[in-house]
Amino acid sequence: MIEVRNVSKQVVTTEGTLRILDQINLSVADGETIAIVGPSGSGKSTLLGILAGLDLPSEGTVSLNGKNITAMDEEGRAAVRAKDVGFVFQSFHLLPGLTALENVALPLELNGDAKALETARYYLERVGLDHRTTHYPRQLSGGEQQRVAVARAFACRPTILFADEPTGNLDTGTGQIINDLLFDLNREEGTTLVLVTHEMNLAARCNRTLQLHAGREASAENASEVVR
Amino acid sequence: MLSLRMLLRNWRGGELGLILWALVLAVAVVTSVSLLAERIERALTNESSSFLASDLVVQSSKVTNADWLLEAQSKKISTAQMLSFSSMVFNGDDMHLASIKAVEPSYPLRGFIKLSTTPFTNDESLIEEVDYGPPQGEVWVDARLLPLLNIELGDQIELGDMSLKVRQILVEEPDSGGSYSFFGARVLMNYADIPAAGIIQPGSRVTYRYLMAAGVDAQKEFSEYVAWLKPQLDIHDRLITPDQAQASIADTMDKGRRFLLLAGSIGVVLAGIALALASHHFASGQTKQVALFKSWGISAHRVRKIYFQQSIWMGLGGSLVGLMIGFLFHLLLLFIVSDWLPIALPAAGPRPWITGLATGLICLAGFTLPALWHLPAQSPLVVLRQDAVLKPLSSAVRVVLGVGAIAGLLLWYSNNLYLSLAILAGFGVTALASILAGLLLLRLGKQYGQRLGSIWRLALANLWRRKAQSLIQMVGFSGAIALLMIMVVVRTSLIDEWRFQLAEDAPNHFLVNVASYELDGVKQLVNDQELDTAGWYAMVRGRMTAINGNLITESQKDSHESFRRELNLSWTSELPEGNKVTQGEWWDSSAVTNLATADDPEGQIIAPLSIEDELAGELGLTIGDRVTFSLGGLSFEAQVTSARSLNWDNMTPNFYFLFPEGLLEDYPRTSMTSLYIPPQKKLLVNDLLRNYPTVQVIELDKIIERIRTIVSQITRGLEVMTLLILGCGVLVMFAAVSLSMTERLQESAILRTLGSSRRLILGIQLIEFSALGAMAGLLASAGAEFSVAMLQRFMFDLPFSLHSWLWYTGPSIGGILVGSLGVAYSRKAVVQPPLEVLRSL
Ligand SMILES: Nc1ncnc2c1ncn2[C@@H]1O[C@H](COP(=O)(O)OP(=O)(O)OP(=O)(O)O)[C@@H](O)[C@H]1O
Ligand SMILES: [Mg+2]
Repeated sequence: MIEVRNVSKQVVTTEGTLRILDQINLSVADGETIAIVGPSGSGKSTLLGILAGLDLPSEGTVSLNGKNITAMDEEGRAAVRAKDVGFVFQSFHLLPGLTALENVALPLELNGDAKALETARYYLERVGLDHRTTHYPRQLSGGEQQRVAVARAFACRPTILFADEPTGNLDTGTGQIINDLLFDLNREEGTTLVLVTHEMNLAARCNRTLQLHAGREASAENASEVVR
Repeated sequence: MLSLRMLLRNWRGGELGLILWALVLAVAVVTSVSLLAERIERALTNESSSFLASDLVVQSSKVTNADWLLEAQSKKISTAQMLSFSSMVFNGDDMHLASIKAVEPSYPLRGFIKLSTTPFTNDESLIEEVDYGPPQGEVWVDARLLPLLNIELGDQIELGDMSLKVRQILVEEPDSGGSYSFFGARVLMNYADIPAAGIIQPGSRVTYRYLMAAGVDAQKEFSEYVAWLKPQLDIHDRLITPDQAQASIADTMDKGRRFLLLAGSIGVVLAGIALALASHHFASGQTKQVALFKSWGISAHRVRKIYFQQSIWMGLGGSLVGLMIGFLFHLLLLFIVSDWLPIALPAAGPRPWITGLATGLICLAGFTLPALWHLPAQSPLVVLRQDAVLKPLSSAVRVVLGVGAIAGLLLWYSNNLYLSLAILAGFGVTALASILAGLLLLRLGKQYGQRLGSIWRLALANLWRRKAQSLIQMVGFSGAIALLMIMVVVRTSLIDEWRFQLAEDAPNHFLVNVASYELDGVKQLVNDQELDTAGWYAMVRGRMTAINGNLITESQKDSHESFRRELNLSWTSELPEGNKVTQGEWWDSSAVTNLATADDPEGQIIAPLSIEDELAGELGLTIGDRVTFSLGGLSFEAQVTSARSLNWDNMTPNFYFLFPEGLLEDYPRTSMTSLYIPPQKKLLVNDLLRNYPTVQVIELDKIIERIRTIVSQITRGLEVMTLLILGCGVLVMFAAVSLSMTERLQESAILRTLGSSRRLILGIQLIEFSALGAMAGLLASAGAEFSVAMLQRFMFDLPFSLHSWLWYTGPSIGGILVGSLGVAYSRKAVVQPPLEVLRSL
């Protein structure tokens, strides 16, 4: 369950106040899948960060599974993230010193999971990287790094998964595998999916689409046009 | 052990490399320096013990108390009794007033006696070292006794009622330097022969010495024994420690010891700087990881714990490896200098190990933890936006913590407030100047760089753009350069100061008591041998008869020989070179001219008197005391107006009692001088004594030879230490250079993809780093000059001097060293394909 009420975000820059998000309202039910689409710079990543509790809105509230995370302190949000949230970053954020396997296993190890490495190996297999487990990020291609990042997010079995362009760097074939994986997770475990994407067919597979334009929600009718 | 696993992964990933190496090296350097310093120090202490031929001596006019010997025996303390006096020795009609020394076979307890069967040799292969005295019925004698008595080795000489066989030439006794008052040739005999010789009568002027020493395992018993012994001493007994035994060498060794301390302390500080830089680097590399942890919902508390545990593991691991490397390194150093350090070094105690371990942990607490401090509070936002990086712990706090850690380490390590303050102040001045002047210099560089070629413009603008980093690097570079310069300057001035002692032809004999009518003849003799003197000094002989109007008592006479002997009194208007007034005031020229008119109520002249400060203490004289002297039947009174310390290093005549000019000139005077007599001209001493029997010759050739050996050992120790610390300095430079390298390599690689030439890329780096190094070198010169001034003033007793060479070597060394390190590091950017470079960052 995600409840977003009147969320706005503005930042003060040298060129004056910049309004990145303006009065966003959104409600996502458990197990639902939603795609956030829009042109580059329209505020998709910013919104996703706020939804996941990684950032705070300037105004408005966000609740995850009934808990108002905007009213919490950083430690409270951390606890919510630890329990419910998974995140696939637009720029992967793999740790350069760890192998692919260790990168996937690290959040599990931090949670005290005794079978961290096994679980990590399983998810690397599912993203098709079982033969690259001992490689370091710098030895992997951009797409491979992205798949490791996806496997890492999956491995924690979050109830809500946020993914910022999870297939942005992938060819259609591999992108398809990742997409299938996302929706399998949604189907098998009831994971709520919030995806930012530029891909029409991925957006189309979601239950719903949120169309952003210069920080505002565009009308639903226009949405399909923009995606197209 | 998640934290340990993470640490190992960090290490494998290369994130930890620099910080761990800095830590290991900090510990290794401090451990090896401390080990070496402690072992050399212990060796030097042993060496100075050998000047007493023991660890402690009781000198007395009475025979040693039998209870003391019994008690010593029960406590595993070795002892030797010794007796010295002057007596005639005969061979038929030939005779000589010899300095006899009778020793028990256990003598010497420390050091060695050097013997030979070849007279007048200094060829080491003909000289044998033994650690026992002569057996009964045998004597070992000075080479010059042979021609004096017309005898050869194996002949018999008569002493009292006994006939003794001359068996060995005595080349050197360990404790010969302790006494300045033997004038005849030395005869060393067995203590047990004394009764049979029947030469000691009640009332004979003899000096007993009771020698004591204890091995390392009996040090506790020894101090208990000394504590037991001390209250039993009376005014006839004088306790002599190794330090008092040889004023001149004690001073040299003390300075050597202080230098070791200085070098070690500088090592500590350098290691600290390296670690601070490396920690800073490490912490900025961890920001992303922490943000990622936070985005996964790891609490700040948890993050803190993870990093704290990692730091502890790192501290312990680094310190242990450091201790091991330090130990190996000190062995290697010992191996390198083993030719130079002929004394076998005693093992070190636990202190160097504790110092090393503590250095690791304190450095970690002072530099690494503060650098990591802000990480747990890092916002997860960094994973979304690079500009959300949290400001690290305020640099003011970190500076305070770092300086606190360094100050604590320095104080603890050196146990010397002045030293710590001088180093800290020098470093502080350098760092502050680096920040202020650095900003200015960078600014100027950017401004005037505009007019220079394009590479210069780019490079200087880059420095300005990275000014925060440039400043940190500048502090690191200038701090390292300044510390190294301090060390080199102090080392150079110490060695300069000792050069005189190291000089082959430093005076090694004193000629004393040359009467006016003998002076020309003596000068002629010296001239015939083509020898130079240190100039002739006039003096008169007189006795002390009363202090503050009270006549000298018999017990005073017993307690100190200065009360019963004729003293050498001399005069001067200027304070002699090397003397320092420690109490009261030196007379100025007006006091001297006023002397004739400054009558006291009874109409008698009271002369000002300056006395050597240690003797003043032994005689119980203080400023204002009036002393009556008797000179050939005439007496006059003098008032103590100053106490002086003497300089024994230069081997020129020194006087315990000095008066102003215009007072003593009319009394019958004698003259003295010092001169260098090489071994092959040693027989001049016999000619002098035969022709002028009243002239006294004080032979210091043997002691000077020993001082020279020790000073050259210390000097070489200093060289090794200097090299070691220089290595440390390079580590700091390396740490500072690598601080900005990721960013620089990235920029270089991007320039490379845009088609920039190798010349341009390396040129930019060369100019940036050389400019940075040169600026740092300039600032370092200022800091070093300041520190050295403090050290010279407070620690080494050296005169203040400016070092102009610092001001050009600083910038040039800084520029060249930092420039080439920077370019060497950057070469990767031009030899590898740009993509490979970018991937590896
Ligand atoms: N802290 C900030 N300061 C200034 N500008 C910001 C800040 N955060 C976001 N922006 C700006 O807000 C806009 C929205 O950024 P955001 O990253 O959300 O875009 P996006 O929709 O994800 O774009 P893309 O599809 O390219 O990833 C951008 O123009 C960005 O530059
Ligand atoms: Mg985005």
